[in-house]
Amino acid sequence: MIHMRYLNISSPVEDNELIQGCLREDRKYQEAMFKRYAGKLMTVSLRYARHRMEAEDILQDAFIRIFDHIDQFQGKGSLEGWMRRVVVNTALKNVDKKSFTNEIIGLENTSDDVSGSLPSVFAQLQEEELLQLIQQLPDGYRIVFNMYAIEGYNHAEISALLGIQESTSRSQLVKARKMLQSQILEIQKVAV
Amino acid sequence: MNPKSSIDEFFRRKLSNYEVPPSDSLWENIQMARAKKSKPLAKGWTKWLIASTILITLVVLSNEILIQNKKDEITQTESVKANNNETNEINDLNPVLITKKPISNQINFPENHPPISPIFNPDSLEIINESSLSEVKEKPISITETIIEKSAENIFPSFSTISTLDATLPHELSLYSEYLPVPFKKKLWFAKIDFLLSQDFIQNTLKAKTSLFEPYANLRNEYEDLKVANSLMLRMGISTLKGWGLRSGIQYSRMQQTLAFQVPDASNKRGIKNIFETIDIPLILTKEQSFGKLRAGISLGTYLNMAFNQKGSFYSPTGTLIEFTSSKPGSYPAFKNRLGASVYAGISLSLPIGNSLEFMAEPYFRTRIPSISVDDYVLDQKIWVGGIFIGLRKQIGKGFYLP
Repeated sequence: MIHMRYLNISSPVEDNELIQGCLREDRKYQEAMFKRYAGKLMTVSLRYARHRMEAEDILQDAFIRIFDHIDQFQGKGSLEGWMRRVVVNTALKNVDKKSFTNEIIGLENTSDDVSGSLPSVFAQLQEEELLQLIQQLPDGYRIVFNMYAIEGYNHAEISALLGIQESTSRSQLVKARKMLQSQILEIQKVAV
Repeated sequence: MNPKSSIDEFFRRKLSNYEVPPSDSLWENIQMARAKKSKPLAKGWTKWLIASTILITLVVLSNEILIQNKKDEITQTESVKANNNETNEINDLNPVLITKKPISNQINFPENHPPISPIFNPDSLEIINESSLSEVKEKPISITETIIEKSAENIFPSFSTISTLDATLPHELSLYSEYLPVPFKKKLWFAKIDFLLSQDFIQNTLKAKTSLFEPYANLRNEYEDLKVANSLMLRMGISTLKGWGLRSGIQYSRMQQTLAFQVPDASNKRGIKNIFETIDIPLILTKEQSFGKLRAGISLGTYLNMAFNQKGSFYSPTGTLIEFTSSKPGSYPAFKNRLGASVYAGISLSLPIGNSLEFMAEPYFRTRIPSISVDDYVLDQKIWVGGIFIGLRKQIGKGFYLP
């Protein structure tokens, strides 16, 4: 809970109050909502974008949609969860299906087993570095990995949301994991 | 489903609550962008506008049909009055009415029942010429004699008095509605559109309600051959991830019936092609499941049927041919009402053939629910339609969440 100095009210503001204020198109409440969630949503946006500028564009479009359609939030889940979905949907809006057909050469020799315990180098990685690793993934890998591993969509949902085959989603995920593992192991070598 | 790997867990744990502040100018940019963009007028209005349009169209359409049916009845009554003076002329064309007495003593009509007469217009039947009609004069159809022999006291002023015994024809169905509970649970929805063509096979049986009309039922069953139809359907549907879906749309069907016309010398039969056209609105609940690439499902629902056009002739209980072509003024009004319903069951099978595109086949079965006006007919008609829809299914856009 954050303190809303700029609302000129002394008590913490609940999400419900923010929503009511946004429904009234009250700019102070909109700004309060932005400040409360912009940081977390920027992280979501950065995961789907190739660079920071693109991430800011996505976040801007997402907030416009949030304020335009706040009446569609029915309060069944958390406000944050709904806003995250809007950001993800905004990021997916302009996804090119060709992104999912690109093959990366050089991953053939990487181990398929990415489900075991992680090397110690993982523990040393900072969030900023993880974001960079994700951003360096090819578009298709990055989107599927984000949707499956972090957002928690399953392959059927990803298939439907992106208009691709489930098998494509599965293969993109496997390749994304391999590539991330490969990059992290490279970091380890450099560090050693 | 792929198991969650340790890499997935690692990234989720580290990033799910991580915050990166956006640039200072972002809030200003959002405000400016919203100020430029006018609030869309539609938003909540669009769906209400669409729903209202559909509702109004249905109401207007229903009224038109009811008014038309009423007009038909009035026209029919007036034409009977006008034709009373021409009875002799009609009888000249219909030797049965001259030579045999009718059977109405076994039929209880209300006293004030309007005398309604079918119109037998030899000029309106394209393939019946004057010569064939004269042959009819010379040899009455034997089935009529059978009917008449069963009648002890024959008081049959004219064929008009059995107008309420309208011969049963396909799709004189009643307005019918049914609530379909839909177990929607998931929030993520998908919209799909089906474009389907079908070849239908029809099993049509007519059964007399009383023994008196058994010969008539036999006549109709023997000479009418309603077997095939073709349909074209545009269907839209929404479905959940779990495969539950609701589909509706519009279907146009054209049924062809061959009516054998018995030429009196008994050496041959001539065929008259009858056409029945219907517009149907399906409302179907589906449950689908994936089996590898194949997606199979069960479809159950109702059809709202509306017969909007028919062309051709049928046999009356006296064995004469009556034209019921809807576009011709004075034709016999074959339908007591044009709206009805039927029950639909099908098995849908689909295979992906491209991005968001599937090839579809749906073998189906449909049977008509008895019309509310079923008691007005002397024959009990049962229609079973089976066939297979073949076509394409296209997913529209991506998945979406309902508000």
